[in-house]
Amino acid sequence: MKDLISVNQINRQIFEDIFHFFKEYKNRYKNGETKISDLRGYSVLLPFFEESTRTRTSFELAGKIMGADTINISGSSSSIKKGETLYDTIKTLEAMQSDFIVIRHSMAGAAHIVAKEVKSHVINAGDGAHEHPSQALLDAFTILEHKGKIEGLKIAIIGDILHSRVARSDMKLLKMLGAEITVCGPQTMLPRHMEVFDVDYVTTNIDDALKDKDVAIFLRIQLERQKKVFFSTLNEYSIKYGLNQKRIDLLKEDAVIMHPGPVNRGVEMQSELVYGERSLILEQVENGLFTRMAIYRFLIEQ
Amino acid sequence: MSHILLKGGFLIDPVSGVSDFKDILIENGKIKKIEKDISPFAGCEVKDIKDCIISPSFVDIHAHLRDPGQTYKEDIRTGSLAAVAGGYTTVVCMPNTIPALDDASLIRYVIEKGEEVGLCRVLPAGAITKGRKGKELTEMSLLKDAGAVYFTDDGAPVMDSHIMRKAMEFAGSIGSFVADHCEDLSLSSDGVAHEGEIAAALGLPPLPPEAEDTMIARDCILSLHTGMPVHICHLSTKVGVEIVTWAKAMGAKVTAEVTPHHLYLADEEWLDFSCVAKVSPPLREHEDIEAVRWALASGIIDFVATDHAPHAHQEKLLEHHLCPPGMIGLQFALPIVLELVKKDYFDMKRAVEVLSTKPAEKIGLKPPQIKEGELAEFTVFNPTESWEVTEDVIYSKSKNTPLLGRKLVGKVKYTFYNGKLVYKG
Repeated sequence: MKDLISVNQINRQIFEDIFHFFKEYKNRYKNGETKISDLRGYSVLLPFFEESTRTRTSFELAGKIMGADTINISGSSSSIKKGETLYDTIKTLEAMQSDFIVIRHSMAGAAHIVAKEVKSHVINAGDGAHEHPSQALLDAFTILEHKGKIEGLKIAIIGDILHSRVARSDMKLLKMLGAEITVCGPQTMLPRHMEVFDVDYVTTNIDDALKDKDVAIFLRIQLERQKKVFFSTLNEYSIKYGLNQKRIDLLKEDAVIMHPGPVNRGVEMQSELVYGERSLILEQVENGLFTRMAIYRFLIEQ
Repeated sequence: MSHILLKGGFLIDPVSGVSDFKDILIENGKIKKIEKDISPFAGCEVKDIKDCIISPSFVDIHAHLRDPGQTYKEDIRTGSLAAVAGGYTTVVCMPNTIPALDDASLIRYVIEKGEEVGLCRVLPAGAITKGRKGKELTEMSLLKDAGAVYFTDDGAPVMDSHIMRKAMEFAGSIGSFVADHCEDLSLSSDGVAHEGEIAAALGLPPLPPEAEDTMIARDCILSLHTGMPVHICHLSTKVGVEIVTWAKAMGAKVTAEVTPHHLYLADEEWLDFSCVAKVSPPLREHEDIEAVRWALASGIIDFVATDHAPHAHQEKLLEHHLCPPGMIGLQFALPIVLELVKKDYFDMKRAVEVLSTKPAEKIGLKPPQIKEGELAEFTVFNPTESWEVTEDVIYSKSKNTPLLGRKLVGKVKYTFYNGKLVYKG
């Protein structure tokens, strides 16, 4: 496996392998080993053609901790804006001969297209509404740490499924790992052909979705979508789909709440719940770092 | 005196009803004799066409030749070359050129350039509205006098229903017709791939089939009420087939065409995320393909039209939302139609009808017929010969097709036009 483009590439063995590296790096880091030389001499190019803070920082920091040279190419300085085709951008990136290309792009399939063209390891850091595999891995690892297993867990994924690459990656990975998946959102934000994801339940009612769940994953609402009539107002959304204390009580007693961030406070969840006792949101961010270190390591060991 | 003798072929001529082994002797471009077993004689060039079918040459009423204005994609010469290589000797080119074919002088330009090239009959369709902007009607009667064979804003729909109604009435009243690219733009929005399972799984911006279906329904209803003809371009959906079935049953003067790619390729072509799969209407799912195939067999869809849409290499490298939709088709229609014969959707006679006589009839051409005394104009193809689609065998300037690298069965061997051999494969 040269690249990580989609969670479809991840079977249980690969999942275990990456999880193993994840635990190793997390332990070493927690024990004060903040400089690790596993990627010394490697270069990591980070072309991010779409705004991102946490994912880019996470991949960059992961590379730096491991001793790699990291180079950012951010959206505003990108050549795409100068009218270069994605293909030419790829060829330019290839000519730089970096060991890793960590790419984020607004077009579904961008990472796949890059991976086919270049010799570097390509990691998909989010491509349109297609996939965000490192997010799905870090979500799964975070759940594993808290629940000790994924098999048999009841997990709800709530929000804008239609436009969400996180949903597409999470649904498939968590399902592969044996979770029971419930998907919930306004009908306008559910793909017409939900059947391709093979989830267990689809509902537009959040109370039904949350009932007796072990894990609830909330997705970020892109505020600009509102213009496109996916729902009327943020107020309506927060009342009908936002997490509040009453809805927390529908979950299992030991349930956890997750969100890939950044949270729209008061929309996906009430502000005071963001870092509340059930919330794993900051742990997700922290685990993101070790997940990305583990992905680098996994790919170079192939 | 020049003599060409085609020996051993099987002649299918739906107009005369001939369907038999016949040799054809051509003398100075004219068909001198059609008989079984004509003996070769001194000075006569014999072409052995055993295993081949002789058919009236094909008529494509929907192709983009990009001339004037976008001749880096295609021009009338390269488009003509691709046409005759595909067995076509009549091509109706679309008016979405730069400028749009919305003026009699531009109609004349296309006709004259086509005659100058001389490989086949190039006939223009005129725009319905000025600049194809959907606002004001063109001078349709003057465009028709100049040689426009019908009217369409293809590439774009006529969104305004009142303008569409008036266009239907005007075109119908002058003995012509309008053809619509059925797409409700408010529904297609920023979609790039058919809203099916593939787009859902891949997270591609979805383009719902109802964008096409609702527009087909509108046009059928307008046609029904006005009593005027309308032609549905590149019909691609199963619901669209049902709507046209209904409209025809109601007595509306509706006709419809289907493209080779909608008969053959599914939205799975997107699995590699390449824009080569991007076309409008989008490649649909298997149920739709099945529906349009049976509709073509039954006559609900009247004939095949290629929607040959060349785009330059660099354009297909653009991101999905920036890449222009379309794929080339002139050289692939025959093998794709033959595939349907092989799969028993219809017989060889129907194949010849949908490629030749039915589209000819639609645009009022003299019925293509192979008979003694006429100038040679027919296509000879081997229905079982396979060939690989490579850039080298594509005559278009542009090579944009998902079929590159694939094998097709059914090859054009000779195309005759106006008494001349214009293509030899």
